[in-house]
Amino acid sequence: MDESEGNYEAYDLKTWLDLPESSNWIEVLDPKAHVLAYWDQSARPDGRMFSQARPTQTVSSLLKHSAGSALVKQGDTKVLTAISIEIGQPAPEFPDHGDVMVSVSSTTTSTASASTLQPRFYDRLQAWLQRMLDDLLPPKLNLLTGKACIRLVVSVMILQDAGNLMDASLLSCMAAWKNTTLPTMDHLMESEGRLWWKENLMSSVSNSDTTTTTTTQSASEQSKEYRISLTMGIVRDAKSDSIKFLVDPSSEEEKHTDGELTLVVELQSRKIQVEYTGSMGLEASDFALASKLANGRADELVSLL
Amino acid sequence: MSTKRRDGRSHGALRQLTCELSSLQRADGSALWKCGSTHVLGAVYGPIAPLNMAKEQEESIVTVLIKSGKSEEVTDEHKTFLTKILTNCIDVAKYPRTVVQVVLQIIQSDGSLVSCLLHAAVAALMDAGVELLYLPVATTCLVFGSNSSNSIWLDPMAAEEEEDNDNAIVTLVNNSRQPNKVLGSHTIGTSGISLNQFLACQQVATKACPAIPAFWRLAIEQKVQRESQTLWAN
Repeated sequence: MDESEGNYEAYDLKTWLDLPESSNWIEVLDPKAHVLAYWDQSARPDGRMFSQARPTQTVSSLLKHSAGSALVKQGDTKVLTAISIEIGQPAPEFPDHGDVMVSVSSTTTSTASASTLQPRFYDRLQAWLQRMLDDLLPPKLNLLTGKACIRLVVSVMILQDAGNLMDASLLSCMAAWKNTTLPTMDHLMESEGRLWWKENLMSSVSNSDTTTTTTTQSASEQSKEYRISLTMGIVRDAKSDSIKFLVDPSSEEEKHTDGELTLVVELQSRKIQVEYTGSMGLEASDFALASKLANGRADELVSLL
Repeated sequence: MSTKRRDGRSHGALRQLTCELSSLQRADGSALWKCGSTHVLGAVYGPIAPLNMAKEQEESIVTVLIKSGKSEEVTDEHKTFLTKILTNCIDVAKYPRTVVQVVLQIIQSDGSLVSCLLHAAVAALMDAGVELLYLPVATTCLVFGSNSSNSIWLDPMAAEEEEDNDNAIVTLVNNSRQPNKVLGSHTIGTSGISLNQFLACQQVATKACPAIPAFWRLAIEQKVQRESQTLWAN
């Protein structure tokens, strides 16, 4: 056996190891080598191109008792978000802003990707989603300036983790936000220093007199803003010593990248926020390419939002 | 938005820097880093064996703990960002089955906090003698969202950061040996920035990068000189 070339055929390890028949034993014993073998040939283990994201679908209005809900499937990653509404008083420093509270949880059956194996990953994901939604939503949640505002309670449930939870979670929050019906002052009345519902909010949607409700919802729908994110793994091309972007890395690929770049794009203004950490230094041309990929992804997702 | 800075600095000027090494006796390395009115005390413990044997890995594990009087100052995102930057710059392969713990205490915060935290951590790591692959240099830029002249202010104070909600704060980390390459980026802002603004921040960071390593070198030279005078005084 030629050990220097890693040729173990003479020993027939497959008969010794308890491996599924369909899996390549190299993939099990040395996952990094398995993935690198694909990358060196400009391919990916799941057959995608480097600039191709996994198929993405959204399903809205899944939950009956939530103000808004959405399920996002990005490849095998599945994230469910439910939004519920509370009405309260605004903070004195922001009398015309509402409030957003985000909580992230996972099912015990969700598979562990490279990200979730890091300590306190869900806390960090929660902090990131909280910041993204805090930048976008509070100005839209005002009812009566200084007196009443809406608090959105956003519950994100990770149903299945197959990599790139950040993008799927943010898209799920945005889809649920789009699906959310916000109460307005048309549904409320002020009496004796308190706010009261005029009628049941849900029944007003099915009410025959839907003109006002429809108009109000259309107005609020138009004022809603959305953000999407695109996460890319950074990989060094050994042959050309250049940098490759792996768009929407799977859990298999996430563990072996040299860095992670996330661009958050606002769909209306196309302004960006750049989050990057890695051992590879990026130049201006790399960021320009990444921005182009992110805008392309935004164009794809506009139809979903 | 005022076109002049509150402390009279130009748009591309850094605040006064101060660095005091080995300020703590029990830590393996420590540094008191002051940038204007932002003061951070960094301490490094390690490389040491982890308490839990199960956590031993082929490479050293870097943990960052940030202590602050205000809980909203520092988020999990900041800790993750700093942990990843420091893990990439430390030669972790050289210290297998160990932990390098970096503790950062925010004494006073007046803007550009993430940059100061990173610089204090790197100074403390150098004081501890931990081998680094390169020196990461952080630059904080304030980008005006509503300003037609699209100016960028370097090293903003807290009052400048909070002046307008439409502004964005971009923290870039560069390699001191290759200032034109970005190793880390963190953006905070309600509205985000355009690509051109981000690339302009990168240019500003490239120009400002050489200043910090030069100051680190000065601080270390002064420390070595002080210690040699103390040791060989008699």
